[in-house]
Amino acid sequence: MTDIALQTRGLGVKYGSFNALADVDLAIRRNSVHSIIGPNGAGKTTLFHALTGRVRASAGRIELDGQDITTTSDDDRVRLGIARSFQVTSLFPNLTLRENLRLAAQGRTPWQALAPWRRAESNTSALAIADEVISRLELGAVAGRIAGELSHGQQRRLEVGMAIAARPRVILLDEPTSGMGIDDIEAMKELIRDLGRDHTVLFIEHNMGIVMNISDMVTVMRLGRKLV
Amino acid sequence: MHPLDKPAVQFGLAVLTVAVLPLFLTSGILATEILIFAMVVAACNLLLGYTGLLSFGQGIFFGVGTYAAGICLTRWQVPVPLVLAGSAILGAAIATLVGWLSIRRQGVYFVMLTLAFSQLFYFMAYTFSGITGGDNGLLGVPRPSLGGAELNAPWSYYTYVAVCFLAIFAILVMVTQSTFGRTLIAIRENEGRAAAIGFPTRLFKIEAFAISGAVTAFGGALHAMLIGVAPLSNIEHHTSELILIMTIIGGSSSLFGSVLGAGFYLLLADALSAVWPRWLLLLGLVLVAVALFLQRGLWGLVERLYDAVLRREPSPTKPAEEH
Ligand SMILES: Nc1ncnc2c1ncn2[C@@H]1O[C@H](COP(=O)(O)OP(=O)(O)OP(=O)(O)O)[C@@H](O)[C@H]1O
Ligand SMILES: [Mg+2]
Repeated sequence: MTDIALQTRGLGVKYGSFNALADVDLAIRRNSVHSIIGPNGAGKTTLFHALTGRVRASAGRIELDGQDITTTSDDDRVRLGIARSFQVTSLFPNLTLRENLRLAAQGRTPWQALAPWRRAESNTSALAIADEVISRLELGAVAGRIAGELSHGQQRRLEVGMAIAARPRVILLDEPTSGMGIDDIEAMKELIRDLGRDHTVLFIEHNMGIVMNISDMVTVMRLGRKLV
Repeated sequence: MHPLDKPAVQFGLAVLTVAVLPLFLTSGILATEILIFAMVVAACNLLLGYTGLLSFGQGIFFGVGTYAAGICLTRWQVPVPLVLAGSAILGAAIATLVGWLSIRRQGVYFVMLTLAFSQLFYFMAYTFSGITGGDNGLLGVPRPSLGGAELNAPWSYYTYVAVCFLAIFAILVMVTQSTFGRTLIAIRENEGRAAAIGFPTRLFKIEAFAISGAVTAFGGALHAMLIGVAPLSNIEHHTSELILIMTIIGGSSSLFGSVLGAGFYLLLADALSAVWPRWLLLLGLVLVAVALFLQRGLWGLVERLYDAVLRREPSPTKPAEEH
């Protein structure tokens, strides 16, 4: 296996006739923390959308461990080992925190969930993963709470937890610290550093302090293009 | 989860309904109709309440079941259990097709597509009158017999339908409790996230359609045997509307709400039509009142009453559900 987990060549995305992303060549090293920085509207989130399959690439190719995944659907990419968190918190707001994570863990084996006679609790490994993520994120005290009623910081942590629960090889975090208090930010930094030991982490962040602190590599984007 | 939403409680309430209807109603026909619509409405609820899909296609599946029973029983004397199973399979197949095509669009366009299919199937039934009997429908649909005894008396047929209803209701409770059902809820809550964590959401919606279509067609077949006819009106868009209205009145947050919705509507219609020929007007007013004041339907009312009387502590208020 090569040392590169995720690679793009000439990647481009169009929204209508607007080039949100163009000619992006990236090579993300395995088990590293790779930061993406750039001003608002630079196309960072769009890059994540393209990497996870939420939007189709209009040009170029994407490879995961050397395998071409350019046209692979978003849910198939989860099974191949790519998971993400969202810049704007996107949870199941009327379900409990634990159920949110159980679903995220189940999403790795969705065909099982098509059986209408199988009880959710029978997938003990999904429950175990959910509990593991809960303790890793120190959310045990609120595990039974409805996600929509959690504090902002807790929701942001859960947002990242949803990506971890998929047991990915490559994890994409879109501004996980946005809107967080200072203590939460410290904990999130630790978490990302820790994730980088056995995951490939791609990480969008505005706070340069954090970026410099935990990144192995930094890519700068502007106007849909990669600068450095 | 609200204590009344526990699966055992939901099924217990269904059993109670079956036991109580004969005590309060003199008409076995009306009681049977309530149970048939209760299962059909619960199947609609699987789409509306659990998956967040407002389908105007339910009348198609109901009508398909009606015609399947009408044709098989008046022309070929197929055994009734086979007819019911066959109707369910046919309903599932057609719902799969309708669902597969309709969920390609979202929101209003999805609703429009289901409406369009509803019109399409109606005109097909109207046009192929050689098969469906057109305007007249298929007359003389017999009721089933059991061990040589014909279940012609309304209350004997009621018993037959009651057993079917409980079986279907149990299946639907199981479906909603399953990991499948809980994934449907996740899709309703946030489809984008459900896809992002790996669920092929279209497939789940299609399966929800298939189950809903199977149950609805099953109910349609039972209905044909109840009224002795397979009428064109069962596949009209009016039937779709009726099923949706009952679902919304009952409240889409629990399966038993659908039983309440069907019962409430049919009993009210029965009572009002006896006192005033223009009863539909009054029914319209009742619907307006429900829409204005009972946002979570009759079931929401039941939950609030339960909390007020038995729990004496406000349950954590859930944000009103949006559809
Ligand atoms: N769905 C969309 N349709 C059309 N244009 C879009 C869409 N999403 C994003 N854009 C545009 O694409 C450009 C890149 O947006 P993107 O969200 O990727 O930027 P970003 O680098 O993540 O910015 P931020 O730091 O504000 O999150 C912006 O000009 C934005 O307005
Ligand atoms: Mg962004």
